[in-house]
Amino acid sequence: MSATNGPQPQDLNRIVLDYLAKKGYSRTEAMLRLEASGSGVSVEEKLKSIEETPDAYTHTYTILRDWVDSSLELYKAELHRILFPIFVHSYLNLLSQDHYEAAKQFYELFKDDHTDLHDFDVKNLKSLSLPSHVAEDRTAQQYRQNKYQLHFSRITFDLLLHFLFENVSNGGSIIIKLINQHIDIHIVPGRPTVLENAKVINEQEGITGQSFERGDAQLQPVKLQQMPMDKEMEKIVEMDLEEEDMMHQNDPNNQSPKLLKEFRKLHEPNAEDAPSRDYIPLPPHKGVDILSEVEAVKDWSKRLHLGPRASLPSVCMYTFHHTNNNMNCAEFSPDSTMIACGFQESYIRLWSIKADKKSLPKSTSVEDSDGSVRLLSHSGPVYGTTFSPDNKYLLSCSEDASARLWSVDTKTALVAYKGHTGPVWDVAFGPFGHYFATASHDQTAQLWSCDHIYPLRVFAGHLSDVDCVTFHPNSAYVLTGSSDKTCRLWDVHRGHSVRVFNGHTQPVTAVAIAPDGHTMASADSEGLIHLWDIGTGRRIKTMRGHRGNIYSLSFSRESTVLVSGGSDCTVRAWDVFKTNYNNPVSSSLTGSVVTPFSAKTSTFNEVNWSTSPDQMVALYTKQTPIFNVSFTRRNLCLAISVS
Amino acid sequence: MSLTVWNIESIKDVAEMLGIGNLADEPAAAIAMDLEYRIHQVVQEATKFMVHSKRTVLTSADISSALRTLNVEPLYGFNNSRPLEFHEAAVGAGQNSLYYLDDEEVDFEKIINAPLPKVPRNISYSAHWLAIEGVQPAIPQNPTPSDHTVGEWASKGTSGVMPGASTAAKEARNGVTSMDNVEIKPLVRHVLSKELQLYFERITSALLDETNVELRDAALSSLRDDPGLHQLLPYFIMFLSDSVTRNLGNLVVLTTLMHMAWALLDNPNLFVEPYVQQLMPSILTCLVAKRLGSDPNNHEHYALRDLAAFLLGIVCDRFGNVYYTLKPRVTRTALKAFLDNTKPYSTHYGAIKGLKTMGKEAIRVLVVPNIKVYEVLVRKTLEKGNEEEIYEANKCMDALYDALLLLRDDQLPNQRTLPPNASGLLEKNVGSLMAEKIMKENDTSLLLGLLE
Repeated sequence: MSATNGPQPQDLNRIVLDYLAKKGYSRTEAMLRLEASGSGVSVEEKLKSIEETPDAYTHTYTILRDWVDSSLELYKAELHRILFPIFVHSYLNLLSQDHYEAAKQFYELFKDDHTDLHDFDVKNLKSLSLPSHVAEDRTAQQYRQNKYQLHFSRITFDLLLHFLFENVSNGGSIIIKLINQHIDIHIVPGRPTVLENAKVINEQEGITGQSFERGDAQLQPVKLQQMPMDKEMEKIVEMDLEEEDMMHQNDPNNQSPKLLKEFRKLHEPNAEDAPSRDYIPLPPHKGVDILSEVEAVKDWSKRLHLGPRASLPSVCMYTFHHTNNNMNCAEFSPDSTMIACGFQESYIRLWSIKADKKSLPKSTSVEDSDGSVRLLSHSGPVYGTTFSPDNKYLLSCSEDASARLWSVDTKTALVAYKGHTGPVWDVAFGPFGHYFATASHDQTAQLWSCDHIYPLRVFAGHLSDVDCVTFHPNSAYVLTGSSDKTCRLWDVHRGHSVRVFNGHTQPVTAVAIAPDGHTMASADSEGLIHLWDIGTGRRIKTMRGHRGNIYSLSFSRESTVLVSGGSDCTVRAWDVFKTNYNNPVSSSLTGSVVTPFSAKTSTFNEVNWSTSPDQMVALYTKQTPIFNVSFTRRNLCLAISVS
Repeated sequence: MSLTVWNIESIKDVAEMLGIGNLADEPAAAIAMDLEYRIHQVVQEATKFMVHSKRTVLTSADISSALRTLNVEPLYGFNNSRPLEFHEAAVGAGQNSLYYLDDEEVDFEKIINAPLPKVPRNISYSAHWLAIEGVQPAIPQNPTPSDHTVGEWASKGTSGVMPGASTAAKEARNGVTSMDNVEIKPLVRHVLSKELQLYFERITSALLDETNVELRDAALSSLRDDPGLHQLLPYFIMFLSDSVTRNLGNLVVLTTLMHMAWALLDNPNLFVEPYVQQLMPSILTCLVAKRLGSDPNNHEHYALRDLAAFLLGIVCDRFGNVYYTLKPRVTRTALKAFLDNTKPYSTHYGAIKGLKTMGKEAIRVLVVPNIKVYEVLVRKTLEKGNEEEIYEANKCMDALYDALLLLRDDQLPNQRTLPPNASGLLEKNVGSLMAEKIMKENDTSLLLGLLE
């Protein structure tokens, strides 16, 4: 739909009537016909005259806001949601018509209405001042090119229509035009939703860049179970485990359950919900794969049991000193024997954290006195590192728009993967190795396999930087978090987005998928963590407690505990299954029972900052921000902070 | 056009600098508006680099990276390692002040001949338990609960974006390392006010001064009653244990120091509990040390031992519940000293006094069965020893008797009579020397208590 030449009111009525007829809203249709016949004549002229003056937007916005404010409580929450897109587009219209002063006045007058929910965008729009900026600015174009999604109940929508047609000569026409051009209102059956929390926006609301496929995307089936193991490999692993069990059979001290049984439990065949093996081609298994699988089963049987009914997590903190603010990222190897850190000065440093420092084999690369190794090859700050599941390879990504593969054994660079056109923010190895994904400033995420120097898939759809990326445990999906405040789940095979998780009000800074494959968590730069059900694409709950950027999230092996860490120098553990009552008063009360420190915070009397009751514990460091948290295979939590 | 941050005048100034005179108002206003937008764009882009570097402070390197991604030549010559310092200059009355970067002139010769700056410290890591099963162990690497509640309040003040202290510290360190004299400050710094330092010096010198009794008493009473000394407490405890080891030959000072410990324990405003572990060795030293005072014939050290035993009682009473290993440990130390016959009588005396403070049960179980054995030692001394030794042995016997008095059965003094062979039984229990002593006193309740 073109922005300059909106449909005439007659067209509008026809569109609305068609829509109503299609949906079968006969009563509304009759009402609309009745009203349209009364006031269809003189509108056109009035509309012209009103739109000429820049004050019209201020006038109409005020009318709309006053009406929304005076509406019944029941409908108010829903009606409030329409104010923001109207605000944005009124402002952008004023700017593109070159009414600079009027636009600024309009902005200053009404921006406070939206700072709560849309602070990030409102601030970004502030600096626009010329028509050319509107045409160029990313945020503005997001709003211009995509329809703003709103979900209304039928009664609320009727009320709105009624109001607009009543005031059609009084500026309502401007709003109708804006709605028609830039807003997509979906009618949902049932009672109007009462939004429990002012700080959280509705999942279906806002710009998701998916106005057409959107409905389908949410319904596309996803297979979230584990990928079945190669039959041949499964047999060998079972044999090995049986042998292992036999060895321990005569040992009276051995109380742990049979490994073979554990293994069978872990790999229960679940045909309908698991992706088939040929869906994602993987290289044939090797001897080491069997060994590591046996190790994994052993680790699983020896894991600590975590959860509200078992014990709270134990956290081992590695604090780095003398970094001069130059460290950008840090990552543990899957076997917890190494730490890889990326630095502002374009190099990566590899530490061995085993008891004996000699475990890093000698090589020709630059070695420091303390046994750490510097990996040199990037030409820009390194923003992300990730180890392969077999601990033999390391991937890094950098501002120089490339990702690089390193051999941990020889400490040398093997491959440079150049496919992005901007800085690469994050990189993640797949759960079976071989594949990896990168997230970049160029608004795409890309899928690679280690043996190809070009990307196999380009995941395009995010409307801003892709900031973080992680693989689904079955390797069939990739999850990305973006500065456009959404997360997306991408199908690796088909290469397009199958889920959009919308609800953050700030850029997403960290994502994690639970090992069970059904739940995911995303964290934003304001310190909120959202927990989502991947299958339905719905938000389960919001976890509140952090004050600032969250840099890292990690689920425990049983997916019962989530641990987060960030710039507010705390590591927090969350109970995944406990529901949050959204009444802020009760939440702060029960919160104080869970942790002794939130008693203090609840006295701040600030709803937005009260700690939610599902926080199990908050662990403070000595003012050192936490860069990484990750659970080992035995459920010990390792963390990295920087002093 | 007052709505733009950049006013037209500054645009015109820059234009003039570039050799464009007479820039009209309209283009200048347009440029001002565009400028604001561009600056915002650069900052927005730079913020992304800051976030991905996991920092909360924007650096000039972020701006350079942002400019590069926007296809603009970055600005060169802005050193990242040192925080930029802006200076203010007054332009004239009624006008805004001008801010500029200080660009100092550096002599080329000087730079070439200057010694190389010190190499910054190598990056290292340390590991510790942040939490064990959800509980933070109280180790130096973890903050105390009071630290972070303060932090939370502080971070509230800065609109909850981030705790300001850490960045400030980080920045400070960042600045320091690039300079010549690298100074590594200890992680925990305790700031004492000038007044407190002065007070500490006065008190300690008054306590160690043997000549001025009045001043010493004043110092002790100040320690006993004054509020607000809590910051000094660790220093006082340190001073105490230091001075005790250094002044073992000086009875007067030792006695004063014990009085000082008493005063600190007595002060209702002080929270001594965390320092009990450091306090105990000093008290025990004054209790069971071989020799206290320089003159072996001076018997005043018994009074000091009594005082130390009294303090021991106070400490064990008050903190025995918190440090549940405290009492057993003290008892074990005292008993060991008591049973070691290579130790002199002075040590035995202290040990007996110490055991006495541990209460009835300790005496009954630990002392009574050992009296008979101990008698052998005493008898030997009484037969062969010199006058001094005999005096000391008697002193110990008195102390033992004193301790036994605790066992007096006060409940039923009249309703029970002594068994006929009381003295015989007694001798069997505690040995003939002690039995003799007890019979002499003819204390029925003690007899009953002992025979039970």
